[in-house]
Amino acid sequence: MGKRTSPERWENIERIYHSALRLDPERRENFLREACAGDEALLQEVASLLAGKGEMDALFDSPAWKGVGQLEPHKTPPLDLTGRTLAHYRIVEKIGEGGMGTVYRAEDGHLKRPVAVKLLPPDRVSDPERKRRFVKEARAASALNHPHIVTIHDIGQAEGVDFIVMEYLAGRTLDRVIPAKGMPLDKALDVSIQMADALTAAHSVGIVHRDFKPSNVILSDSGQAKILDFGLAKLVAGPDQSGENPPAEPPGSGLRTDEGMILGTAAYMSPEQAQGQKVDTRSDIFSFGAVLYEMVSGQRAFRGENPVGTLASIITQEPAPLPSGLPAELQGLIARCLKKDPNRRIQHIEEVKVSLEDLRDSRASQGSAIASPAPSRRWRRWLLALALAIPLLAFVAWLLWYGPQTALPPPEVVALTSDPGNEFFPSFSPDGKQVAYCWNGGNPDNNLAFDIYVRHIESGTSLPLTTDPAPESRPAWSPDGSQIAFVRYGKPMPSICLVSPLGGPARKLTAHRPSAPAAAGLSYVSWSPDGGWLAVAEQDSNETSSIFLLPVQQGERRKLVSGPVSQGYFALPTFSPDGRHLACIVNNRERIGDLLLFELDRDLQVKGPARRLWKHVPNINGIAWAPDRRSLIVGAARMNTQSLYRCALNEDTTPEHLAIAGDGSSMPAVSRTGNRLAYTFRRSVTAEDIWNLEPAGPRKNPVSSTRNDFDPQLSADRRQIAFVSNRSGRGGGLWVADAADGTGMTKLTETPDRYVGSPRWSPDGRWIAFDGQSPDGQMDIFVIDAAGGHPRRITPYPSNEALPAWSGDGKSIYFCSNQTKRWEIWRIPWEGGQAERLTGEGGFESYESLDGKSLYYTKQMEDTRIFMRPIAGGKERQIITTGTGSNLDFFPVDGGLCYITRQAGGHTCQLWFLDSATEQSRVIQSFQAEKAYALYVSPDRKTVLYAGTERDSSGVDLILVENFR
Amino acid sequence: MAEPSSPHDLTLLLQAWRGGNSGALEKLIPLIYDELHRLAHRYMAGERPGHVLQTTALVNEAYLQLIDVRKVKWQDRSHFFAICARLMRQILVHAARSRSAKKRGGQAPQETLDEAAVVGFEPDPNLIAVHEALQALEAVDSRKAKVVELRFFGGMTMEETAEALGISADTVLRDWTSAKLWLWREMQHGQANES
Repeated sequence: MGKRTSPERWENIERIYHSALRLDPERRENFLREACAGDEALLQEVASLLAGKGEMDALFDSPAWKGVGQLEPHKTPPLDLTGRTLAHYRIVEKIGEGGMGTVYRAEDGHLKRPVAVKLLPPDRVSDPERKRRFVKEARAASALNHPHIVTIHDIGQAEGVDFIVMEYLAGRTLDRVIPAKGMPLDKALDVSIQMADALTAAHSVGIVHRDFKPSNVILSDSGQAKILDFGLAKLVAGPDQSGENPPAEPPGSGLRTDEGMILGTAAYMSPEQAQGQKVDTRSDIFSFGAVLYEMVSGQRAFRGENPVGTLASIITQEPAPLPSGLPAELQGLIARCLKKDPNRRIQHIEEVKVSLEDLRDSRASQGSAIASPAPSRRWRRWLLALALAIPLLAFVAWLLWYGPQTALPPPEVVALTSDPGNEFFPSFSPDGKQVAYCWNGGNPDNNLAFDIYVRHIESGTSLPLTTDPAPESRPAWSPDGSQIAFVRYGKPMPSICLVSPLGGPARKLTAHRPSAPAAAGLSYVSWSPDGGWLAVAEQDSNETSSIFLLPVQQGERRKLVSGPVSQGYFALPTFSPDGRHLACIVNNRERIGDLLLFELDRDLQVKGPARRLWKHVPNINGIAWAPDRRSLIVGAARMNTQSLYRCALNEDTTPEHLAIAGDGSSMPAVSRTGNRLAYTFRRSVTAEDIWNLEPAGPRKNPVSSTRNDFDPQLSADRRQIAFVSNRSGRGGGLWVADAADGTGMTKLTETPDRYVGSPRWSPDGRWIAFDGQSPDGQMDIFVIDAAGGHPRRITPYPSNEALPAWSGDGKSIYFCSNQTKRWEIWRIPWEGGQAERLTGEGGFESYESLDGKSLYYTKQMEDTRIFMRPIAGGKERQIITTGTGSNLDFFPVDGGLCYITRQAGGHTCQLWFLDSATEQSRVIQSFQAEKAYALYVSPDRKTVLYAGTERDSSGVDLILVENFR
Repeated sequence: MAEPSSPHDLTLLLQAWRGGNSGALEKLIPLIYDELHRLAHRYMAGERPGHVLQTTALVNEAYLQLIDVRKVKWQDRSHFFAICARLMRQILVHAARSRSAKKRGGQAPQETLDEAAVVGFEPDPNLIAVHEALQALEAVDSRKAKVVELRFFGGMTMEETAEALGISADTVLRDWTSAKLWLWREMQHGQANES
């Protein structure tokens, strides 16, 4: 047994085994006898291992998962039918082979015309379901009879082979035609219009291609484009047959053939397809966008090292910007085809076609006196489209609504408040410039001391409106902006009050009887758009829950709807901005509720029964009308996580998670101007912050936000701080601000979905080097002007490069690279030139010593050692080891370097200084931190920054989303 | 689920772990385990017929679902895959044990409904033997054992394994060749002792 075998003996066994393995089998026996020198047990042992080698390799050389649902593709040698005759088709030559079958050129013996015959691979035909689907697909495509779709002549079976007979086209597939720099624009437009035309026809009868890619488009020698291989096409039920939708395809079903096909297909798959979700015609629009992108740029829109990488790229990354010479309309069109969310994508391929035609026409008319495309022409086309099909009505409406907005910048998430304590319940002023909210003042002794505040968004100043000791909550700004209604939880009974947004005494409007615990905390007033009424839900007796309308000036309260509490408790009545609808919830005792929508007439009377928009939703905490007014933004706590959802008024759609807000979000409000969303956000206890280590202990750096901030570095004059943050809500970005007070906050670069980090100031403070993901997903070193500009990639290598550090003279940058399959430190002149490797036995994070003579570095991730070597040349030496623990973070200072260690399992960290003269380390300061890394220390050691988390920073803030749609 | 999780939490936990917070790993593992288990269950129960099952694909899927990829450094990715390999080993061995217990007519301890579905697959009979031999190897040469775990249970390539362990691909190949032989021998001896 291994345990009992001494290491020496095992070494012996292994050595003899491997030596024997290198010999021809017939020579092994002699060799073994000689090598084992009479040790019979050893000989037996090695012989037995040699005999079992095949079995051993079979066991280990495929992962443990083999056999688990595995479906290795059958590598049946493809049948070559050249020269044979199938039915009356004489096979002439093979012209292609793809995942969906082999294609031959053949001659139709009856009609004496050339045809293309596609064979279904025999191993597929053995699957009757696959065969049935194949025939169905072929018939569907055939039925289209479209000039830009390859015509199907016949589907047959002969000699046990299933085949499909198509028109024969002399030409090449699109993938072979696209030049490396992209097709000429006019040619690309011409071809893409034909493709869009074909897809329009297919979509109009419910056929989704599902595998649209350049190799499925044939360009005939005469310039005609034809789409082929609706091989994955399936008839999808039209909108009026929603009950008969076929079940969603199993994820990855488009991936099932061989590796080559996965590669070819994956690059053009829509995100929903890549994620195995149900696809519809909009999936083809994404694929179309990816193909068009490639046609005009010569580059794949989405790339990865392997199919999984490609899919990940499709799901998470945006394609690289298109060449700037392309028309902006075309770039915008492609971008709208490539929206990840099908609901945000162009909805109908017809629109793509029309836009491409407009583009072509406007180019054709360029040079004539008035070159600009006439709007009336556009309108005529739209009206034509409108007349063509009723479903397009929705699309035109969509276009009218979203069309002018496509030029808007993308949504941006910013902190609205980040005060200590808890801020809740935002409500916008009518102009969207101020927000009323409630705040407990961060008073730890009285958590419930909530007052109403108003915050001016631009200036960030807040003004308290109420000072009453009773808690106040749920402010609601009146439509004319002159008053704020809120609920005051006074004794003996809560009341609804009004206060001017400028301050002054509050006026009690009426007593308020909140509902039972089922709706506790959900007391909320909503202004009718004319400002005359406030809707509020109350429990008016033990048995009845109602929504009332309270007159703001004078008069009697009116009961709008009412029902027995056995059927639930009303809460959160919310008028639509036009006053035609009222949304609300009705909760059961477990606070699981349904979202209801009442229609109102002009007199604010309920018309007909409510529609249930969303059923059985736990803990709905807020409702706001979305800017499009056809959906509601709803805060709910499904799966114990508070999130915002977009719930369309159309009952049939499932509410969609509002990803931009993230988890921990609740109580949404939308400005009447429709471009701002505010909500309450529960801070994560593990958000990363930047800390200043001061003699009294760590203090949060002024740039810290409620999101993650890390990798701080000061400029040489210590006036500016560069750091990495995800505060915009769209992935990590590189930010620069005034180091003293965090003012002048500027975002230098941000690539959504890609990583950036490790900002390092050049010695003259003009440049910042950083590492980040290139579009290919690899890490590279970039340099950007600290005042702003485009990052320049200085390591154009296919390997990973990271952790830049400037040389003291500012001429070159050290970095680590895994080019040699091991992390080594390299140096490159940053203005251009050859990189040279400095280490040979490993090197990871590095800094030059401040005297410019030595290089300090670690060798790998999580290294607990620091090494040093003379830059001019010489041997490396290990100068620090902590033996155990986490990664050693260090930074060079005058006369040596500083580093951080942490007690195992504790929260006590120590900042050390290593004196390079004596090579002795001493502790400069001990401090408490949950974690501390990404160290920066000024040369005189007076300023120490690090990134880390607070032990408890939980709390509630308000978040603002700009450019919300 | 042990506790509700979001990509956000997982990303932060992974970062926290990288930042030296060993407690984060303890929180991380059950979350990934649940997700892998769920995925494995789906695969094994045949909900995804026709999919070429590859361990790396499974791990990638877990990665995409669990992690907010935008915020994750690439080092974290290696860590993540390393954790997954460990967890996958647990899942597989557990499933294989349940299976063999069922075959003998008994109920495996802690078997749940889910587990019963999972054991609908036929595990390689050698799986438990490899697992036990690997435990023995861990005591002798932990790096080699790690290489086997990543390659055999995690389905990682030589290069991925090298990156995850911070060693060269050549070293991985040497370790792998040697460890395979060691394990094989250990397994042969184990069987001989049993019979």
